[in-house]
Amino acid sequence: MIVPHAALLATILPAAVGLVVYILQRYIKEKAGWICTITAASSVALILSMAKPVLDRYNNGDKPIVYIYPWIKPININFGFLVDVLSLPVSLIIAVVSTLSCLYSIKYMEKEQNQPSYYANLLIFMTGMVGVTFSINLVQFYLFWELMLIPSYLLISQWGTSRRRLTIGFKYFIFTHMGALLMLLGILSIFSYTMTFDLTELPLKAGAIPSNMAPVIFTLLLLGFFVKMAAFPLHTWLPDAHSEAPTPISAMLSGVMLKCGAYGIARILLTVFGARMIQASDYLLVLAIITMVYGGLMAMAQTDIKRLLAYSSISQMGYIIFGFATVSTLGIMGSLLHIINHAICKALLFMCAGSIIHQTGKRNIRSMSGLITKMPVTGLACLIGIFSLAGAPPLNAFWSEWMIFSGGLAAGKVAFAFIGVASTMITAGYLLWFAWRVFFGPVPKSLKNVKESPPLLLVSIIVLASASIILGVWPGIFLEFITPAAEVLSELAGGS
Amino acid sequence: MLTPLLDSLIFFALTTPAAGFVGRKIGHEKTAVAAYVTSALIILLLFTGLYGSGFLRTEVTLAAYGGPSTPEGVSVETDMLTAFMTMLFLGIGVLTSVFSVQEIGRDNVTGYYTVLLGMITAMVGVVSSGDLFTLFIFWEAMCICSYTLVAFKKGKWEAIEASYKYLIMSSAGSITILFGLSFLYGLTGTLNITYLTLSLANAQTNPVTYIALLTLMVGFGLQAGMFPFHTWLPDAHMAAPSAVSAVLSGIMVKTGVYGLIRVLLTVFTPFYGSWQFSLALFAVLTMFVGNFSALLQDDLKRLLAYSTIANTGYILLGVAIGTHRALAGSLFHVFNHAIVKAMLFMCAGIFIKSARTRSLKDLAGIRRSMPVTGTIFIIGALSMTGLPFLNIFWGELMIIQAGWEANLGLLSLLMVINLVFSAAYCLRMIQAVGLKRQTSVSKKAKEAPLLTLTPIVVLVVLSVVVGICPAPFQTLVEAVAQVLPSV
Repeated sequence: MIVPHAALLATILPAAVGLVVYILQRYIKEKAGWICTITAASSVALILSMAKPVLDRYNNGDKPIVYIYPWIKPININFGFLVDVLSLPVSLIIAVVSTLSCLYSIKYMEKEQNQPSYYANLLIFMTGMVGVTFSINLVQFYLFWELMLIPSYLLISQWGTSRRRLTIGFKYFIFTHMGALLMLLGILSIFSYTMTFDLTELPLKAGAIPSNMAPVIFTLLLLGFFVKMAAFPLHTWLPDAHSEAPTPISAMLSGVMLKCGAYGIARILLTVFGARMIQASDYLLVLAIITMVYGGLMAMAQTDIKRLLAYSSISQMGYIIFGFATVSTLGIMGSLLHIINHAICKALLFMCAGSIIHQTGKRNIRSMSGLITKMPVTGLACLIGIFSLAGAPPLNAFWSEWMIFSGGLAAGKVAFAFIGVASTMITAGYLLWFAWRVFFGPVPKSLKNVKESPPLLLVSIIVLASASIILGVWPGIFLEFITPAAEVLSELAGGS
Repeated sequence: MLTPLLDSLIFFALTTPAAGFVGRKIGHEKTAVAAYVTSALIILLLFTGLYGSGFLRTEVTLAAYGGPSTPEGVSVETDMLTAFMTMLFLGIGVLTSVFSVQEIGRDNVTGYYTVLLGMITAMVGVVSSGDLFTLFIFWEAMCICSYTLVAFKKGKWEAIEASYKYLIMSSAGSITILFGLSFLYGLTGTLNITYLTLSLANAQTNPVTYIALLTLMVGFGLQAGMFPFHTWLPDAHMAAPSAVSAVLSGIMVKTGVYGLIRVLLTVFTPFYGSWQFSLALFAVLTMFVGNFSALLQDDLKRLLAYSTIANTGYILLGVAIGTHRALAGSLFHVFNHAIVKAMLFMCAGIFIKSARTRSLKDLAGIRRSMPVTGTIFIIGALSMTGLPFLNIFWGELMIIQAGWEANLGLLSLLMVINLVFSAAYCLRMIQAVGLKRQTSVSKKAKEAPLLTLTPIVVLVVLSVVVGICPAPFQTLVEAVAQVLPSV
């Protein structure tokens, strides 16, 4: 049973409630957090309600669920939602992480100013991300893409943690906006050849793009996505922005916002520009490896707990690019699964870091030690996240990392796959060293009185940690969607 | 006889002093004059609305008044473009007239409103003219009114200096136009736009035609704020009362754009190849200069003025691309920019009136003391950034798209680069007004009264409505663009 207009509601509801909360902030005050958590949770429920029908339709060979609302007739743009095996899992994880961040904020942000407006921004941010994944046409894709930007910018520069927050917000905005505009240029040029923005029609009309223009358009779109994903030379905004934002927002930025770029690669580049993807495969693999290694090495050098995690995100984006760049079914499957797994692990790690910051008031790793005895729940959850990202079975990220590199082998890129696997050593290195420094060893005097975080803060952490274990033991839950999606994508792209 | 609309406008403009006289007798001069002018404009706006929709229904492209037009005679003719521009002028005019009530002082209220209405009348005259001679007469009337309005705060040296600079530059521009017109008349023996088009299309190529083309481009471009003739604009906008800045930036600059569209795309269509490159070059330089200069400003109104220059660049780029979609994009941008820039100038006026400073540094954090104006200003600035679900995005989208379709991808790319710069200064404004810590000046500011807030609320609602459902407006500008020949 699908709720009528489920996709529309799931997308618009958070923003609508967000606006109401903002307008009525005087009357809502402290209740804002709960109202917004419930709203976000209902969005999750709406997306979940579409899961079964989407699978059934795929298995019966029917078309995916499409909602169309007429919008701009003169240039033939509809406001529509495309719910298929690719968009559903990504939007689900976005909604879940947003909901948990919202719940986490209730305790974490309780002493902050202007709470209703904080939650309003958070919900609009969520709408932007969910909207990107469900968009059926490229203009709408761009609109939601930019809709993410405003609230996230405001969240960073209004509730940021240091004095540099305005400068950092500015940098974040300009970088992302520039990437988005390049993407827009690409989108418009696609339209000028194919005369359609519709994502369901575009793969069929891809032939209309002349072969001398295709690499240009491909590059423009790729630049847009890479800025969002913070791939190597375009990454500089990320460590600043992610360490500056309040922790729940960092969890959303690192956990799910970056994935919108990855989703864009899957949704647009693999379907429309498959041949270019194969052509560019080697370059992209090199870039992916550089991103992995660079992010990992930089993470090792950090002493700020959130900055370390931010650099780790850059490194992990390298994994996702690697999988897509192989253009093999296994690699794409791995990348799509890693979108989910990294979202869970990184949101978990950021929330654990937030819990530590909340209880100790410190961010510097050097001043921490032996915290596992003081904060057992946070410590254990954090270790789960760390081991998972480091690729230890049977935790969730093991599966996706394994698939990504096997994808490299499947595509015959043996050398790249070996270098990739070797660079996971760096990931394991900085993560384990991080765990060692923060959680083990003697407890310093200054941390003698530290207590475990309040339960409200731990709920989200526990949920994410158990998700990590559950998905590690039963990776099939998401693979049921992702395997067919990867098959379709690699078939469209013409890869191995 | 001119068009009924123009007749009534002239009538109302001439009788405004009488309303002021009566008002003075009963001791409420300001209320009386403001009410008189505002209601006159509202009535005429509604009238134009009907008139415009009539055009949409019957698809009349040209209507002549005062008998059939002849090559020798002067005439007033209206088409969709006229109706479109008129609606824009009157709409912004109404809101400015309401806004002015608080903005201007007690002195010389009647004079202010008379000149304001006179200026709007002259602008409507410019867009209704069927021949270039009539256009020129209204043009001069408009310019004279605007000099007066810029110098309205006559006690301040700044206003007098800016007005003087504007007077000199704009007169030079007008003379250049007249010069060009005399060449055209010498070549063809007519200034009627329809006949002129026909005779130029048939005429042998004559070097004098190119001189006429260049002079007209410079003359109209000057009023539109085209680089390198833009230097009057920041000074004038900065020194004028904010209500006047809203009119200047929102609509008066657009008459220059109108002049360029009318002359280049009607009369000089056959010469497209020769003006396209130069106009595109002017447009690109204008955007770069406008955006870069805006980045460096600390004076809020000066920043907005430079942003107007940059936006003129976008509009001219659309005209230079010259296809139907580009032209529709330009017209849409004219519409959107008028709304947003009028809104921003009005918000700036409210800030300045309350905080008594124009410096962005001192205005920091003013949103906390003036929540409504501050929020509206931020929405306006976001729209200026070209963010989706707000109106300006759609016009820009159409122009960029048209560039690709016309195989002028380079122009689209240059415009996109400029959008990043414009995002940078818009973000500076947002940071200053919304996010920075309050200064001692901005703490003392008080929210404006309801009457002053009404126009900006109307504009912001319009901006969001156009942003969320652009379809009807897009249909309108497409229909308007159909009137003009494209290349």
